Order: sequence, then C-alpha cells, then structure tokens
Amino acid sequence: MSDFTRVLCAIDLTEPSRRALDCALWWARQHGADVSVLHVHRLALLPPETGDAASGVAPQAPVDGTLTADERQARQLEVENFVDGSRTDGLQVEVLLDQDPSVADAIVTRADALAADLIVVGTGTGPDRDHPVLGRITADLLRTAPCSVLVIPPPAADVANPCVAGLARIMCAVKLSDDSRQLLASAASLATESSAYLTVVHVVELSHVAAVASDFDAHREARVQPARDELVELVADVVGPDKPAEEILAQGNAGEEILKLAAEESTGLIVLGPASGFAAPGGGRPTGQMVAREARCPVLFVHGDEASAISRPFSSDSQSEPRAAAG
Amino acid sequence: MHDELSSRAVIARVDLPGTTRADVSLQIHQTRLLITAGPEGAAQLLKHLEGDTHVIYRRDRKTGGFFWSLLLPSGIRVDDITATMVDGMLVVTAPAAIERASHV
Repeated sequence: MSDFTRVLCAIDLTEPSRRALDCALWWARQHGADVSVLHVHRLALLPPETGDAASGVAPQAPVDGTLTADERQARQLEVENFVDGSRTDGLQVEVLLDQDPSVADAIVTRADALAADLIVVGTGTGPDRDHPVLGRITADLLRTAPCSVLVIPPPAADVANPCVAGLARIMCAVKLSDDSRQLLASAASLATESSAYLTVVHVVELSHVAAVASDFDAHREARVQPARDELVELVADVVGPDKPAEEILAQGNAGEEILKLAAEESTGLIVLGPASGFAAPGGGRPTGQMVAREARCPVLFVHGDEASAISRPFSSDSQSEPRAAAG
Repeated sequence: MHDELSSRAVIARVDLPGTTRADVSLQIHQTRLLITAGPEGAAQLLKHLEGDTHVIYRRDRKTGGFFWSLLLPSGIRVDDITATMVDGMLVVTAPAAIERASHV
C-alpha cells in the first residue's frame, strides 16, 4: 500500500473542480486516506497608494473583499453542498474555507499544516479570472507544493473518467537523472496497487544546434544509444524482470512526445518528477507544466520526498518527517 | 560463436526472451537497421516508415513486441550484416574491418 494518508483537494466550485474532487475522493478510497477539501476565497490586493503611506507607517498589504461573517457562513454552506454531491460513505471528508490574496499560497499553507501527502487540483479551463484555483494557480502549485500534486484535466466526452473506469495503464516519464530510480519505483508501486500496466518513457531532446549539424544522425545516435542502455537497465533494476512493463525511447520535444504517447496508449495516469525539475531547454515552458495543462488524463507530480515514501511498502512515521519545499 | 564474433563488430545485441527466430525481422532502411518482433513491433515499424512517430526504441515485456531503429556504421554493406539468435539473444554483426574503416 502506498503511503498516502491525507489528500488535500482544492476546489473553486466549477465542474472541472468537481472532476478533481471526484478523483481526490477516489484516490483517497484507493489508498485509505482522509480528505480535506479546501476552497479559497481570493482577496484582492489594493494598490500601494491606498495604504497608510502618508503617515509614514509602512502599508500592510491592504486587501479587499474579505467575507463578512454571514457571507463566510453562506460560502461555507455552498462549499459543503458542493462536496456533498460527491461524498460517499466510509470516507472522512473535512471541508475548509480560507481567504487569501494568493490561492496557491493558501493551498500550500494548508498542505503544510495538514501534513498532506497529496494535493489534488484541476487544470485551467481558459483565462477565466473568476476561477482562480485553476490555470495559473496550478502552475504555481507545481513549483511550490510541499508534497506530490495530482492534476486533473477537465471532463471530456471522449475520455473515460479514471475515477470510474480505474487505472488500466500508467505512464512514467523519466529523465534518467539521479531521481529517476525513486520516481520509477513510485510509479511501479502505484501500477502494482492498481493492477495497471506500466509504460516507462524517456525522451531524448536534441538542441537546435544539433538539429542543423552536418552529422546529425551520428550526433543523435551518440545521445540515443546510451540513453536506451540506461533506460533498459533502469527498468530491469527497479521494475524487475518479471513484471509486465513497456520501455519506450523517443526523440523530440519531451512534452509533445509524452502527450502523444499517452494519448495513443489510452494512458489513465501520467507520473512525472517535480515540475520544477522539468525545465525546458532554451527557457521554454517546462515540460511538466505543458503535460499538466494539455494531458487528457490525470498527471501525478511526485514530490522528491514523497517518492521514497510511496515506494516504501509500510512506512508508519513518514507523516512526522519534515518536508523540504520544492523548487 | 565467440570465435566468429571476435572477427566481427557487434552492431546490436538484444535480449528477446520468449521470442523465436521466426518472430524477429531485420530491415535496412536508408542508413538505419530496423529490428522488430511481434505484431506490436511491426505496427511500430509501420509508424516509423510512415514518419508518424519519433519512437526509436520500444519493448513491451508483456507481449514481447519489440522495435529498435539504430544507425548503421558508415561504409557498411547490407550483405556484410549477419544476425544470430541463440536462447533469445539476438546479435547483429558486421565485419570488424568496416567498423575500423569508419574511423580512418
């Protein structure tokens, strides 16, 4: 059994966050975890000049839109009703309402306070400023979360809900770095628990300089063959020789290849390392964020500290261990 | 077999447990050697030839499906390439002199 004991799900009362909530509850049931559902009412920061600068006192981050007691009670009821629509028996669900100028910061603070193992959040549905939990907030969470983050895509008519259909196939994308062994062990553990088939992918990204080199084929081969050898060895060592798994080595843009392969294989869950470690070459959009935003299945970003916990069969003291912030 | 291999350079060595010689296919396409096994490997080969994928290597340990596209050493002739398969181990070789010549 994986070591998830507390799942924190952030919702903004939209249908995409309904999917995130359903998946959080499903995940908690799968792992015997408790669930905290958090709705953050975002406060607006006022311009600095409206502070008390004239008196010589430093302004204290003035905010606007704080809920009154009645408004807070009404919002709390609204959130509880929203959660009741998904709640099932036998699962402990706590409903929380916070107010903060930064939704991502509020979620991270709650995750820390609750010692959450996993944050579940939906991806953005577009530049909708009324639903701040999604979109940019998700990107901020991927950078700063103190634990693993499960990003849930919005519902799509032609994509089965993994929370209903179960996980038949898990794809783990590895960078073949020092962290890859722990990450793959986590993915393999999840695959075993879910009786899912595991696909392990590595993408060789070649620089633009290499692409125009006269000996491109030789240059590419010099990168590809060692990567293939390393991938084969990694899977054999971590997954084991007898467990069913697939190894794939591709070349190109990592994000694009991961998304394409995941779609072709009807992948139910993509497992990646921390988003901060997936920097794109040339300063482009990080691979992790690209996959999180465009994937049609949930994407699990395994936090460095969590990776060892997930892959450890029985760990009773992991909750009491301090965590380092990602980034 | 080792005596024979000592005079030849190994281009590819791959463990294909549970796969028979009849399941394995080798093709030369332009400068690349394409190794496949099983229906899944053949399907991946088709995608590769149609330019519809950037997958270079793929092995499905459940079905035995296998695909590998690798660059041939420069100066090699198709007729020089040989392959043997013993106990699920596929070894593809070419004359060692060709490998050396490529570095001259």
